[in-house]
Order: sequence, then structure tokens, then C-alpha cells
Amino acid sequence: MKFTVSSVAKSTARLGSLSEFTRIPEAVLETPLLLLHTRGASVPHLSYDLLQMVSTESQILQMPLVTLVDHTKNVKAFGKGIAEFAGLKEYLNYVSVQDSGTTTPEGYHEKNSVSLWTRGGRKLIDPQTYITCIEALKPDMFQAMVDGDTTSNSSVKRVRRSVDDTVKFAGICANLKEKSEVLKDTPMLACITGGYNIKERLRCITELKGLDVAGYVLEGFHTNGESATNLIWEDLDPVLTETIESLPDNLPRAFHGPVTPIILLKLVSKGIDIFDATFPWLVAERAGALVFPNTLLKGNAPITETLPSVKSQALITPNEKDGSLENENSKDELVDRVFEINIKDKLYFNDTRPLVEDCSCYCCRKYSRSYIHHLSTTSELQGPILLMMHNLHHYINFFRSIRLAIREDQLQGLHSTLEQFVTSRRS
Amino acid sequence: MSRHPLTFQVLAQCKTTKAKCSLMTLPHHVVETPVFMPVGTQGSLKGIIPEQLEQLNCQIMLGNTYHLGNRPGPDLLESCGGLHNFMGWPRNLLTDSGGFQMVSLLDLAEITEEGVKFKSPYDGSECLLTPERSIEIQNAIGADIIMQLDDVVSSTVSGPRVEEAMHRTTRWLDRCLKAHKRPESQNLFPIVQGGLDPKLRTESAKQLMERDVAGFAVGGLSGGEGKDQFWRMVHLSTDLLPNDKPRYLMGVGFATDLVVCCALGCDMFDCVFPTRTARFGCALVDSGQLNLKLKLFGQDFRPIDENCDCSTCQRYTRAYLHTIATIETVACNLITVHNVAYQLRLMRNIRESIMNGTFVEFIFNFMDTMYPKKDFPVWAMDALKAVNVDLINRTKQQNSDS
Repeated sequence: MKFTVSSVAKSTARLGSLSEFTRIPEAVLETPLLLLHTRGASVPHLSYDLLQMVSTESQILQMPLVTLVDHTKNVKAFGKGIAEFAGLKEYLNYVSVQDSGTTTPEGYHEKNSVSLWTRGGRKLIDPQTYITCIEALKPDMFQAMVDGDTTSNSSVKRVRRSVDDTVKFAGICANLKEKSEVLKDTPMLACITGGYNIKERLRCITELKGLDVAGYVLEGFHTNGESATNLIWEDLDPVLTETIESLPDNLPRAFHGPVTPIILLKLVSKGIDIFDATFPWLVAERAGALVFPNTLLKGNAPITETLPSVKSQALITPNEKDGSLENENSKDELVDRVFEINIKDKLYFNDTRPLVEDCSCYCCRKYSRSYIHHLSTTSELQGPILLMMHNLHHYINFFRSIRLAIREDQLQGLHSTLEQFVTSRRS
Repeated sequence: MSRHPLTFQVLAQCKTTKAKCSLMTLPHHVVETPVFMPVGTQGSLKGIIPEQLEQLNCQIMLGNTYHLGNRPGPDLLESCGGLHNFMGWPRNLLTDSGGFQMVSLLDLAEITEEGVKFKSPYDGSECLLTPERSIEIQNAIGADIIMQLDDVVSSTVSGPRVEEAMHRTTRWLDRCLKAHKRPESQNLFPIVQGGLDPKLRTESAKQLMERDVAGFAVGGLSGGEGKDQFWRMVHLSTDLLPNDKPRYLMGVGFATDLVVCCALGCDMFDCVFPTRTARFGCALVDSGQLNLKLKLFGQDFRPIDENCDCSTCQRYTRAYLHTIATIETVACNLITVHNVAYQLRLMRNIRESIMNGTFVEFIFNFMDTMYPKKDFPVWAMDALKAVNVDLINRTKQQNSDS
């Protein structure tokens, strides 16, 4: 795999590309890059045919081992790797340890291993077993095993331990990879942990020096899932700045998890190159449709519709089965839905407009909010399919706009458009 | 006679059985019969999108009036220009009357001459579904074929209640016909009732045939009666109903039942089974079904069916489906696509064999594949014998058919 940085903006945001993957050498993926998040090796709700309706471009699928580990034996017996096993051989794939879209329970640390919370319960996995799994999956790129179990509340001891473990795991993984016939040419991303402690972050970088790695993943800022949507930039900013300054310029940097679009833009401007599509998935799972402005407004763009303030509570139809009101409203107080509309809201019962006016996705070309509202309130499986198609399309286009904005030195413009949108929805 | 928005052209008639192959032209699309109609209860076929159904060459699907009448409701559907528009399905739709759901889903349904009285599961209030109301909702939904409200009695009930229901069904048909506001774009089908009593069935069919309608349904079956009684009632009904109008056998969708009932002269079928079983991880194949959840498929790297041309079998293996079945909704999508493809292919093969004059041969091949130990169900053997197909003693039929 080859990473090329083509330009660095004043903001330190950078444009680049990943290319020359062994299995699909012709694929070129521009950074900042959106990895398509999968569970059980499929993009949630989308089979190959449906995914093709969202995008026919080259993509890298992020495949969390935690969602696959129960089946590695069968993938190994298959022999041709997870991409072909899952019917998605046209797509590149990257295996990560945890599912960045799902909250990883904190704690449960044991010597020389990490906990994977699978459907069958907790599975302890050591670096040797980890590499054996990776060998079975034969990914196009993978993450070194990592202990990223830290947040802004973690004790110094926990942070130190996460760095110690991460460095140790990376060493063992690199060593085993070197000796592995299957993996020796597969790019591995090492992880930088250290929570919100600059000293520990820098120690992690120093101790990883000398390892042959293809890039870095900045772990340990959250414990995946919802926790990644509540990051406080003021806490993140100084740690990130110092960390990134100490990383080599010629290697890509990834940041996993469903961070909000505004945090994402800030991460881009710090020089992060790779993200994942867990945010659009998380939103689709709660019957949300992404509506935030995902393009650079040129000149005096017309003012789009006034969206309901996130302060007003959504009216949700009572649950059919028990007649009780769904617990949605109380949950809403915790979840920030500023970038989406809640399609279950009665507001959309007879709204004949598409989710987003002028959106070119399959869902918006064909269906009304009213129909998707109907699907969501009746819990029809087609509801999350259509929402996922729209949200993913919206996010893929957001990344296209981000790259364009960097190229045209307009990242700040994109950022203020988003800020304005958020402010108007909070009023 | 009024002009119905339905033409029915018989293309070929089997020389041995009552099976026939026809073209039924409806306002939104032509339908090749015998046809299986997948069920999209609430304005969506669970787990897949209409685009995929079109790719599978599905020409007609079902919606349920009871569910659609509740959500999103007739007013919204009417304001959207009907269910076709609302759900983005450009081909044909058929809706049931809503009565069946009421009787089967609601313990508290009470049937009077006026209609079906029931407690709303939404707010507990008392509601009444009359023939007029059923048609009003179905007019708002706008399906190409709509069904009369019938008085459904469980097929295990006998006695005077069955006779009452049969007569009431005719009276309700007349009320439905009178209330029907869109006869120029929607076909109203009556439903033959009469339980398991040949006399009552005959009387029911006679009464309904006196009305000006474009097709007929056979109802009140597939509700727990023995298969032996089931096929006899189907056989009797198709003998009575005209051959130049479509006959719709409600609620039938198992492969064997479809083959036998085509031979008995039915043209249209519907059933939730193929799509429901898909959601539980079961895939339909010529030899029955595969429960992909079973461990034995964990390292089975073949497609569900090597001879299936559906998009699932072109790309996905049993082993992969095993890992995601009932866990990821993608499995639902993939297996549903396959199962609908299976049902539609089965019907296409039936049609082609009728056209080629090889339907009897098709029945033999089908039954031998489905029952390799030749343990054919007795009812199926009897039913086929009634239409001159002897599964055990074969030579004569094969010769006479070809």
C-alpha cells in the first residue's frame, strides 16, 4: 500500500491518496477517506446490490474483528479471505479490533489480552490469536491489536497501562506479521493511545518508533459508539496537536468512531486522513436522516427549509404492541440529533418532500418523508435500508466536499456553514 | 356487462389436468398466470425494496387493508395518489378486505349483519368494519384487484354458522359492489365460501357467479383443515367457476400446494410463508428448504442453489449467510430475494411446461425432487389423480399428455 500526500492546507488539513493495494492494485482512494463500516462483513442493512445503488466507486470496508471473530474458523476453511467470503471481493477491506460504532464496555482487563464482546459474550484474545484471526481473514490492511480503553476520565494508571499494552501488542503483532507468509506484505496500522495525557501519547509514539507500520490509528479518546459523539474539542485539541506533530508526515493517520460532522472537520484540519462511516449508521439506527449541509455553498445559495429546532421534542406514535409511548423522548435528551431529522416524528406523517431537497440518492429520488415515516413507525425493515442508503450517500458526498474544500482552501467555509446550521437548529 | 379493467386471455390449456397458462392484463402491468403474489403487508415487502422485486420480474404483489387502513390510513394514501405512488411500486397490487386479519388477529371480533365489530388495538375503542368501509379504504389504497369483505368462518367449524356465513358473504358482495367507487380502475373479486360442505360451496359459487365480476377467489381454506378436505374443496370450486376468468386461491404458497393447485385449475396464489421463513434464515430449494442457521452450513461454500440465477446465489455462499442469518438484516434481504426468486421461478416453470404441453412431466419431476424417497403426501396423490395424473402408475399419463 502506498500513501501519498498531495497537498497540505494552511490549516494542516491534508489531501492525499491510498493506492497500490496488492489485491486491487488499480484502486486509488483519496484522503480524507471514509471507510465504510460493516458488521459481520456487510454494511449494515445493505447487500452488495443495495450498496452499489449508493456508490459504485472504490471503497474500503472497515471490518471490526469483534463482529467476525466467531466465524474466523469458517473463513479460514474457505481460504480466500473475508472479502470473497462475504461476497464483497470488489471492495478493499481493513480489519479493526473493536467495532467503533458500538460502545465497548470499559474495564475487564487481563494480562496480555483484550476483551472482545461478541454475541456469545466476552472473548479474551491475545496478540498471537489475534494474528491467527487476521491470517484467516486475509484483509487488505489491518489494525495492530490495541488497548484503547481510555476516556477523559481515566486514571493515570489506566492510561499508562493502555500505552504499555498497546506498545507491547504492536511489537508482537509486527513480529508475527513479519514471519507470516500470508501477512508479511499486508499493511498494518499501529495505534497511538495515551488517553488525554500528552506525555503518555508522546511516550507511545516514541516506543513504537522502529516498527515497520503503514500508518497510525489514534485510539483511546473514547470507547466507541455513542461515547464518540460527545467528544469535547477543548480537551481533544491540545493532545491531538502535540500527538500529530510527533507523527511522521508520510504515513496516514486514522481516527475511528462516530464523531459528529463538526468534530470531524476539526480532525480533518488537524491532519487526520482516515475516518469511518459509523456516524451515518448510528443515525439510521435511531430513525434519523442526515440533513446537515454537506456541500460548500457557492455564492448566495438559497436558504433551505427551516428544520425543527432540536429543542422541541419529537412526537412519536404510540407503540402498537403495548400501547405505551416509546421511550424515544427521554432518550432524545441525551442524544444530540442536531445533524438529522427524526423521521419518526409525526411532523413527517404527510410530508411529501424527499428527506433532503435536491439530494440525488436513490431514497430521495424515489420516496417521500411520509413513506419513510410510515416504514419507521411500522418497524418495516425497508425503513433502515432507505435511511442507511440516504445517510451513507450524504456522508460520502460530505467527504467529497471536504476534499474539494481542502483543495480550494475553503475548509473554514464548510465549517462555518455547518456551525450556522447547528446554531439555527439549537435556537 | 360492464367493462372491467382486466382482460384474461387463456394461452394454453393442459390436456390432462385443469391447469392453464394465461395473460391477465391489469391497469399497471400484464400478469402471466399461474402467478404467485408475494405479500407486502404494510406497503413494503419486508426486507427488500421494490426495485429488487421488479428485477425479479414480480408483476403483482399484495397489501393488507387492515394494516394499511390503520397506518398510514386511507386519507393519507388517497392524498398521495394511492399505494402505488406512496411505496414506489409501478406494477400491480392486490388488497384483501381486512376481514381476515380481524378475525385471525383479534380475539374480540364480533360479526353481525352490519359488519365486523372489533376493538382497536391502538386505543381500545370499538370499531366496525362494514363492506362499505372496506371498499372505501381499498378505493383509497387503489390496488388493481380488491377483495370483497367476506364472512370468514374457521374451516374447522361446521353447522349452521357456515351456511349463514356463506349467504352473508353474498349479501356483503352486493354491498361491496354498490359501494365500489372506482370500477373503471379497480377489479372487485368475490370470495367463494361455504366451509368444507360441497353443497354450500356449490351454492356460494353459483350465487357469486350471478354477479358481474372479473374474477373469483376461493376463500375460507388454508385455515387448519385437513389437506384431504382442502383439495376437494379447491377441486369443486374450480369445476364450478368459469374457466375464462382468473381463479385466486387465497393463502396458498408451499411449493407442493402450488403445483397441485395449478393442476386443479387455480391461477393466482399468495402466502407470507416464503418471505417470512426467509427472515428466520430458511432458504427454499427444489428439495424443500435449508435452515441456514444450522452448523452444517458453516463451511458450505456453495450458493443456496447452484442453478438459481438470483443476485443472492450469484454472489453469496451458504457459509456466509450462515454467519449473518437472523443477526444482520442484510441476511433478510438476501434470503428474501432468493425465496421470492424461487417462488417466481417455480411458477414460470409451471407456465412454460403448460405452454409446451409437458406439465404432467413437470409434476413428476417436481414431486420426485421434492420427495426423493417417493413418500408423496397422500392428499397430493389423490388430488392429482382427480385430474388424471397418477404419481405411482405413470406411463399412461405421460403418453397421453405429450
